[in-house]
Amino acid sequence: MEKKRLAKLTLTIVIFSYFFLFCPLVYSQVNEIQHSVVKIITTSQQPDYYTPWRMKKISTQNGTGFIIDGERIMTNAHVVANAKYIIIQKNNDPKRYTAKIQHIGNDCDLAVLKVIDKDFFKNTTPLDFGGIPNINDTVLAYGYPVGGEKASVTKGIVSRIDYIRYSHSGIDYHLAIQVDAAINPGNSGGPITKDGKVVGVAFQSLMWAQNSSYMIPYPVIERFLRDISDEKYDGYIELGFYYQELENKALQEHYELPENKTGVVISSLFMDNAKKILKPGDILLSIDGYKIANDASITIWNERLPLTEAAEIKLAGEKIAVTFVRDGKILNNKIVLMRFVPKIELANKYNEEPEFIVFAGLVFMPLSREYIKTWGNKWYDEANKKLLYYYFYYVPDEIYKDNPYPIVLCKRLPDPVNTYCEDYEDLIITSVNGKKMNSLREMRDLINNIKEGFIVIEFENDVSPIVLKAENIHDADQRIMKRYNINKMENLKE
Amino acid sequence: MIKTPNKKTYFSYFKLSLILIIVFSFTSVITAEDMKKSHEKKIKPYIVKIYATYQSYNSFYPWEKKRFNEQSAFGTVLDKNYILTTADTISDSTYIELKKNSDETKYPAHIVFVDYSSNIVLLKADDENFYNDLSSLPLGKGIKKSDSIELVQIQKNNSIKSIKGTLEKVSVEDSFIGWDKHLSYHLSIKLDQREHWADPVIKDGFLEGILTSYDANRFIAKVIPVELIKHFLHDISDGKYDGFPDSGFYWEPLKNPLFKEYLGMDKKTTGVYVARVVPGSSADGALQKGDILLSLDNKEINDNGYFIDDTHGKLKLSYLFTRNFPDNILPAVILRNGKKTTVKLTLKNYTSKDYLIPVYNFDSQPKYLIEGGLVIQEVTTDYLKTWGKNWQDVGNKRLLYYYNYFARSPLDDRKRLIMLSFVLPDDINIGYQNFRYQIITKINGKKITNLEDAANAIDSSKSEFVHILFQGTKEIILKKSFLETANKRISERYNIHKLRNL
Repeated sequence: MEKKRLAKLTLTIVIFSYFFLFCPLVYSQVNEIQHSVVKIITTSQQPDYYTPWRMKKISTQNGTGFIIDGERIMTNAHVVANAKYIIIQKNNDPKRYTAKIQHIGNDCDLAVLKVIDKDFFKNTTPLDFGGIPNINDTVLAYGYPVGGEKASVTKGIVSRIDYIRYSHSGIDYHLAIQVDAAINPGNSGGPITKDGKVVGVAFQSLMWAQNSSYMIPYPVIERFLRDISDEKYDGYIELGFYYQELENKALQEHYELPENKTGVVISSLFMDNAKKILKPGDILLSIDGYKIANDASITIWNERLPLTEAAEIKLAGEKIAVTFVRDGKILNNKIVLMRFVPKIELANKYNEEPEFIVFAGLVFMPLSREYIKTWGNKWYDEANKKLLYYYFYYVPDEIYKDNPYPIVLCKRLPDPVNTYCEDYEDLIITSVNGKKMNSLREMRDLINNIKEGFIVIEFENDVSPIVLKAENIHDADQRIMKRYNINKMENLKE
Repeated sequence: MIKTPNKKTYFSYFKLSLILIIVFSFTSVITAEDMKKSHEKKIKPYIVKIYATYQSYNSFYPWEKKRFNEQSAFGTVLDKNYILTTADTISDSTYIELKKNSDETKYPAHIVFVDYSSNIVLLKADDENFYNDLSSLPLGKGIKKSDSIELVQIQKNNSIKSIKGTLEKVSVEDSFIGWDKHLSYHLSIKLDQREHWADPVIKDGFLEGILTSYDANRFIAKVIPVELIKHFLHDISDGKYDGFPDSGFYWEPLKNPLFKEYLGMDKKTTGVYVARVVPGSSADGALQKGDILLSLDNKEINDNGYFIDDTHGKLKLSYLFTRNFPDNILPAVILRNGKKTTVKLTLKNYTSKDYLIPVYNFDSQPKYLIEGGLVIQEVTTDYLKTWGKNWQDVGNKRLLYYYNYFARSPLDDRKRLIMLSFVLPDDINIGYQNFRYQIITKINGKKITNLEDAANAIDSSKSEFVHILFQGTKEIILKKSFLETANKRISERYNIHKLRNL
């Protein structure tokens, strides 16, 4: 017994002395940073793509943010997604401040907020940014994780630098750094620091692996801040071409890859700016000065990453240098980078109300990820197979060329006017009265202009057309609005 | 259900006889003694047991077979020593045996004719002696709703038992295996746990059908009707099997009165909307998308696609095809662009083998081609099923899209979708080893419409490269001169004896 107690005592002393020796410096720094780390309480409401005139229930979520220069607060886009009302609290300060989204980048999961009361920033220090930490560096994660009111700090180690899918938008791939710190819900948007400087923003973790969290690294943050410096967020650009790795010897020989050179072969192009410079069959040797290996990787940020990373930090309208081989000659040129804006929404959508029209109790919406998600958790397997194919292969199979804007009959609100329109749900229309429809607005206008006679809607699938009479629709619409409590019969994009 | 008294139960003689009386009043159990009696009366049994060993191919590794298994069914002896049972009993069979209830010997048998679409097969015992002590059952004329029937089984103790039931419904339904539509009887009957299938259904000493499935919750048995069996026997009477004709078009009911008004039809006229015509099918050349089919084979079609059959009453129009034979000509009255016209459909057997994505492939090895470790296959329903129980959801979305929307008709001029299903890793295919489920569009500039095309394009090309283009953005290039040694290496490494099955 005596011995054990002694051992405990020694241990305590060792720990204390450790603190005594090293901690004051670290502690004061931690304390200082904590003053700049804020709690964000967002009240949000998300539209219901199942009944697009309606909003889903109101919910509240907590997240973290931190003060940066220009009296701004940086956080994750997902912390303030679909926000109707945002409140901010400083550590050990009971006062609640209301805030507004100034800029939001859903593709990189970052946002900056403005606090309406300027007093908020009194006696606060904006945090500075550092660069990319090295593997095995120790970092500190600050935030307001679930399970308590106060700010918390947790220590972690940088475990890898990777190129991953950002789950907020669901489709964007960017650089991310994995940290083995225990980052929990509520930590999101919080700074991760090394030597007192912000090297990342905590944002997502692997569901199936414990203690494996990711932070948005400095290059992504820096790009976001640069993008919004003109007071407008444009978002990420696309190179506009598909390529194939040149690892196979026969492939190299066929495309006549010059000796001592490495690169990838351009397989197809989907953006005009890229088409002006490159052709399928060209061998791309380098991009923005980075030499491309046969597996399509470049060395950037001291890591081997996909060549697309070279274009990641570029803003819309900027140029990227390409060196490529065509007909045995090495050519140099520049591609003007632009955003790829497909006609349908491929990414998760936030802070926007769904586009739809309702007439004769039939709800029409363009194909979108949000609509397919109404099938529930396993939407990517369980949704209508045609819609899934159109969604997943919209670009690769060039569906956008023939059918850039698939309009879906999503729902039938039963009423005498549409008695015979059952069994058409989730079918894609081909025409209305023989005319191809390029937008919901066009469809709405066409239908509004038919005052008398038949309205015939044809579908892609092997079904008979829907036939309605224009003169029956007006009364039916009044009836349906009342019966189904619909406050608006359309929401159209400008 | 029926308790056979055994030594361990202490029934009084009185109780036992009471039970026997009850038993006899509901079902007739033919005991060994009765068998003797019937033998004396020279009525020999016509029902036998069939045991089939089957082993199907692994659609994912098409050069391999799966584990073998056994299944059993009843067989009914018909004229000419044919033994009738359901085709699913003997699908992918490697060995078939027959057994009579009078002895324990198993007699080997072989398939004479099989049709998976209607689920009918005719077998014959290899040894003529098998038919001693057996009689054949004559075919009936078809039964009508509410007719009483008997279903006959051989029990575990080799006694023959019959169970009474009634015909509840006659309808036209999807074949057990795919999209073909056939006449089907629904019996209302109470059956015990099933060990065997294909029990004969009998009325007044005539065969009226064989059982295919049983719904134990609703007490409904589905039966292949004698009409279908006769059709099959008639078909093979010339020694050749032609199969059932298929409609070859998709139709939709004409429920919407506004649609009729729009088409200029009066309210009394009825018909169905032709939604798609399958190229190369019975309807091709006669019907068009947008036609309204008013009558077929001189039968009026109602707005829901039914006609009035002389025997069974309201039946789906598909039966007007399947009750006929290939090459028969059916007149059809249609409404096209507001005008009534008569067209003639020359009937064709258009079935699984003609589909872009075949529904089934029994008794033969899936086709495949392995070149430089690239496993090239047809997209088939069997292949899609390799995704497991939820294959219709979790499978590759591009393949599922074709399965759901184009499976039954040729796409462009493609007879099959040909894909690279996966890659057997080797030095020759470095850089391609992650390729999976990629649909092949061209090889060395040639369009690929079936697997033979793919083999020919590779073999006959004079180019030093094999250049494979896929739907989407990917491609594969191999050097032809390296293929031979690589193929040899791969077949040894992965233990594949045959690199091709065309």
